[in-house]
Amino acid sequence: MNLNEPKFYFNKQLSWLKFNIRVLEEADKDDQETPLLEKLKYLAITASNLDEFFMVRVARIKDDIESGYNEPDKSGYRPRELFKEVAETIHHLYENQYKYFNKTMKKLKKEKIYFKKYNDLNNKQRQYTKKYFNEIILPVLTPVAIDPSHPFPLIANKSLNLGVLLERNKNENIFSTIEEKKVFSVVEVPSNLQRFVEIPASNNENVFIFLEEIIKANIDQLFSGNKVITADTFRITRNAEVVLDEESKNLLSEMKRYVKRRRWGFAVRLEINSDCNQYILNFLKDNLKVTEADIYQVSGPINLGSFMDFVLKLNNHDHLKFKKMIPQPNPDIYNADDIFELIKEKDIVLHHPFESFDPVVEIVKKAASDPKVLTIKQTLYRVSGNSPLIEHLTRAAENGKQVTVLVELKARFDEEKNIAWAKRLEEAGCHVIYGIKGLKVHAKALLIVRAEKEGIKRYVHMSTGNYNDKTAELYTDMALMTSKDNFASDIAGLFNLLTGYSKPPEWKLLAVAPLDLKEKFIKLIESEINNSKRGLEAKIIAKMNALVDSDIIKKLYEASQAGVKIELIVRGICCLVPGIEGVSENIKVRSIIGKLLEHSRIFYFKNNNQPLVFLSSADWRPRNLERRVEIAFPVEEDKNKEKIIKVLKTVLKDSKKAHLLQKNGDYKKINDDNNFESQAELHLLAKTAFQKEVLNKQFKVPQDYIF
Amino acid sequence: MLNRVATIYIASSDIIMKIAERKGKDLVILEELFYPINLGHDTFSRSAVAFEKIKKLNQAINNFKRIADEYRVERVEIFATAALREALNKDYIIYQIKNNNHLNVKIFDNIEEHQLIYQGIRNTNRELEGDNLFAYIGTGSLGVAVATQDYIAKSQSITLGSLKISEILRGIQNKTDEFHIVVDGYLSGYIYNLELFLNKFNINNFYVSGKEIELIAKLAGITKKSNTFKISRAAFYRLYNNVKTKTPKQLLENYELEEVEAETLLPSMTIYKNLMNLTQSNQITGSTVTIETEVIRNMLFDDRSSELEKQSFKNIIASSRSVSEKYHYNQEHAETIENIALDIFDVLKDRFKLSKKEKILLQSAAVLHDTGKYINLKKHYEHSYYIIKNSDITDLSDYDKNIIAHIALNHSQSSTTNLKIKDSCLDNYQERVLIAKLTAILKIADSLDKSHKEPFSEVEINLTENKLELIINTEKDIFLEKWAFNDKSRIFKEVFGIDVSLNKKNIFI
Repeated sequence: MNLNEPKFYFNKQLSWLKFNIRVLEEADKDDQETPLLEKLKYLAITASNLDEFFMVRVARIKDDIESGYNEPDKSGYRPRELFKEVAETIHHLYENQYKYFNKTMKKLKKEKIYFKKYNDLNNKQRQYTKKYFNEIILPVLTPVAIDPSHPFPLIANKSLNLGVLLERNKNENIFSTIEEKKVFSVVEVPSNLQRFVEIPASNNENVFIFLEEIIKANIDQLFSGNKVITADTFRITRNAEVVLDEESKNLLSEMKRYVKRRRWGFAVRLEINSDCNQYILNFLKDNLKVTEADIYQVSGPINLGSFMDFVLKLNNHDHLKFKKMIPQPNPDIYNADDIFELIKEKDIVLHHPFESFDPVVEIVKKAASDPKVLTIKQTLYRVSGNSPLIEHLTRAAENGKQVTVLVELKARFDEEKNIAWAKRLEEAGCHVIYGIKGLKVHAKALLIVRAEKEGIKRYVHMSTGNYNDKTAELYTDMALMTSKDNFASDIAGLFNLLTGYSKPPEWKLLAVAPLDLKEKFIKLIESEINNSKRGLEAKIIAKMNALVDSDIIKKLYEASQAGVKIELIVRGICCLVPGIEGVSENIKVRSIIGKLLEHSRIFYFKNNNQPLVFLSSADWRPRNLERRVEIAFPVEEDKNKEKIIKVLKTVLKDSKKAHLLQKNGDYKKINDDNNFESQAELHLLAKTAFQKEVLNKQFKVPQDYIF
Repeated sequence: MLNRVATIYIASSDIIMKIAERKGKDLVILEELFYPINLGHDTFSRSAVAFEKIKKLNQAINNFKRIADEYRVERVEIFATAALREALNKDYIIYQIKNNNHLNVKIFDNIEEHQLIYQGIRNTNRELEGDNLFAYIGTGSLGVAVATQDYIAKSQSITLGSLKISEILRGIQNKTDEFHIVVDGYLSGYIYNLELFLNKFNINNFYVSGKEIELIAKLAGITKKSNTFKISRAAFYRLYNNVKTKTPKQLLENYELEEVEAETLLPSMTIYKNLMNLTQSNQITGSTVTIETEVIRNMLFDDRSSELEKQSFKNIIASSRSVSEKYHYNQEHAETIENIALDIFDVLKDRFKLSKKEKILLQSAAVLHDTGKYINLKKHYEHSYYIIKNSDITDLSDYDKNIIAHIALNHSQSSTTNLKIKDSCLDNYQERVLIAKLTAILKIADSLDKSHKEPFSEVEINLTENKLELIINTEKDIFLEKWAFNDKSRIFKEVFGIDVSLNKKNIFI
């Protein structure tokens, strides 16, 4: 049987879109399950996810079409076919997105939260907006007219704009060079001003107006004397990818594309309000060189992504948000006087955000001023805005510790942020390294070297998630803290590799991409295959964000054929087709879309009842396994293994937020009466573990943790 | 006593740093760094290291030092073997490293390199029985030694490393399908000599160290569980038969080797195959021993170094005897002289601050000084000189051998004024004095046995403020000895500044 046949692979892009649709559907749940403000958040996430999808994925498909590349991909799609299906899917997605949005808006009115049109404002409110326009907005507006001497302006990627159609007043000289009667002008909606302008309202009401609404209402002022026929809101998305596609089959055309792309990326999407003026639409279409399929006319505000932080504008609306899930202290750490002593005694597994991320920040903080600490080394991929880690590392360097920080500047769309704090670290005397040429460093590791009485002791933290205290509250991740020598020397070796000081050592426990990680996973799967062939019960449970790598998929098919039971928990893209008779009937794939973003990568192999459990920074996709520096590390101590296996079992029981992937590519909700929500259960587990421990030790439970 | 140290080893294909710490009686390696720079390739094929590589080398050392600093190590030692030793531009490389990184590179000669490895093998294989063959392929040289439980009986180093063979034979590879026969043929001359070398011994065990044997074990499917591992003759041959017909390119692909590994696999397997066939062993015992770790051990453990010194002294004397035997020396004469010389040395050592090392040099010289007579009695000291210089004597560095050779060379000289120094690097105050001191003692001892017929069994030695007096207990007339003694004691007087006399014991007192 040829396992390379396209029918055995789902398309990566379409699979991703399905994931985004699953996220979107969370905005259509009843208000009990998804409170109103959270619905806005899901809508915003879906929208900003799509932005990235257009800038990178859609751009690439269009590029392929344009460069004449016409080979079918792994799933059998040629670029044109794929584009057609992607565009259709997204158009449909948009319809639902705005349907759900408008439904939510209506419901928000019942909660006295209003988004008003200018015409719906009372006099007092209109005066307020007028004043706001004149004092705040007007000074930063720059209308640009378009005509043969003023060619179509550069409209920045993802900026919101007003397209204004004017009728020229012959007596006015501002457009004196223009012959035509109709003039088209573009006004960029300032991105440095708040999109939602709150206007004074009577008691308990929250009234907002969109920034572009205010501008539209006052647009006359910009074009004194000329008649404004109409003003429409639009936004364009450009090809923003200026790095090589890591997963492209067609590397040469990728290379050519890369050179071309140094200019402004071409437009890949035009969003415009659905009741727009036809002249404006055609004008934009022609000038941006977009096709009908690239135009998204929306019945609501453009760029729902702005609603990401909308919730911050409201006070006292907790009933419209998810009940806060407070991260619990890890009982072992909570009881320990000295975290170093604790880790010396045993390994600790942390499960965020059910368990708090604080110990990670704390250990760096402690190390920064601990006289015994000689060295701190850490990889930083995406850190939070005001990361306490940066502060502690800076202080450590100032205290004379040797601090080495590997900063990955290439973390997509975070580049500028990264450069800023990398400079800060350098100024403090840290040894900052900017990754390896051509490879993103995605491994998350921390090494602290201490000179203790008995000699050198090294402490290691490795995680599936970034060193980001903010996302650690929203993403599920697992981490291991250990002082075992084998881990320590492996991680020390990893840093020596990353700094370019040494070639890779012989890893004692780690598997490292792009060196041997994929091989390691393949071998682990093979070993289950062998066990199954020997008549032993064989099982694999793997949890990750995406499954794309076709070598691994093939190996999983072989495993299924050999009778290995395989449970996959894949949040996003999954190219594997489950449930095909004779190929994958032993494989189940489920995706959890919960309040928290499923982010942990966990791998379990039954290994003839002596289970092997690994945590990893890598998904099973080529970019992780072949073009990034990633690690997988075994969890060795039984108690910790049990903890992780328990997590996997809990996730597999989910019947509320889980979707089962069907062999036709659909994701089906599990409808049983249990209504079991794994994330809630995992939080409860963390809570009881902590409380039990605290009660045992008769500690006083801090108030924060009772709710 | 040091607790935390680092070594930087400039090896043939990598620069290696190890950072280690003492934990009780053992050592723990904290970090190992390998920076690949193929210096060996330059040295062995072009005789000098290229400019770019020297730059890289300095940068790598600089980076290593940074990591060593992170651990606050107390001492960093940097050393090199063949890759640098045989490079014509080594002096300038050493100068640059000193200048850029403030480190003094020590260059180990073959013997020193092998000595460290033999120490390591012995350390990982505590129970040796009978005669054992030790072998170690460095990239530049092959070392073999016969070891007993207590000492190294015999050792030899051959300028024939695996990388060197593949550099020499490069080019032939593509011209023949039977490259392994060429390698075998190339080695046969060396192996014939080794056969002679091993003759008389009955060797049952074969111990090997080096990264090649670890690779061979890995390819033969043997998993190392500790520092030692065993490869059976059968398993070795199975692999050899697979390897011998493949080109390095095929090896690279079939076994997922690195380039250097693929190039050197067949030559090193051929060497081991031939060596194994010189023994009765049906397996190879591999030891994971590295020079770096042995150097670290010596840095961290003082008591170990004194133990090793004792061990090493045993090796030197055993090996010196073995060389002398080869040249059919007069064993009885040599032993008498050895004993008297050592007695005199012991009497003098406190007053003249003579070291243990000097004693062993003297003893070895006493064993070896007449070997030249095998060639010709005329000017035998000249022959002794070059025999000593060109023989492998376990645990003796080239420098040490040079000193001993000069003692032998001068043992027929009558005065310090005509002391012969053939090697300009020894022609300075310190070495001249050293050679003269030991020659002086040897000459006196030698004169006491001038007749070479009836050795004196007992000599009484007295040291007073101004005089060294030797009293022989004999009834025989000692006219001949006295005559010889007066002639031969001149150097002694000149060097030590005291008088010396030979007398018969007064039997009436």
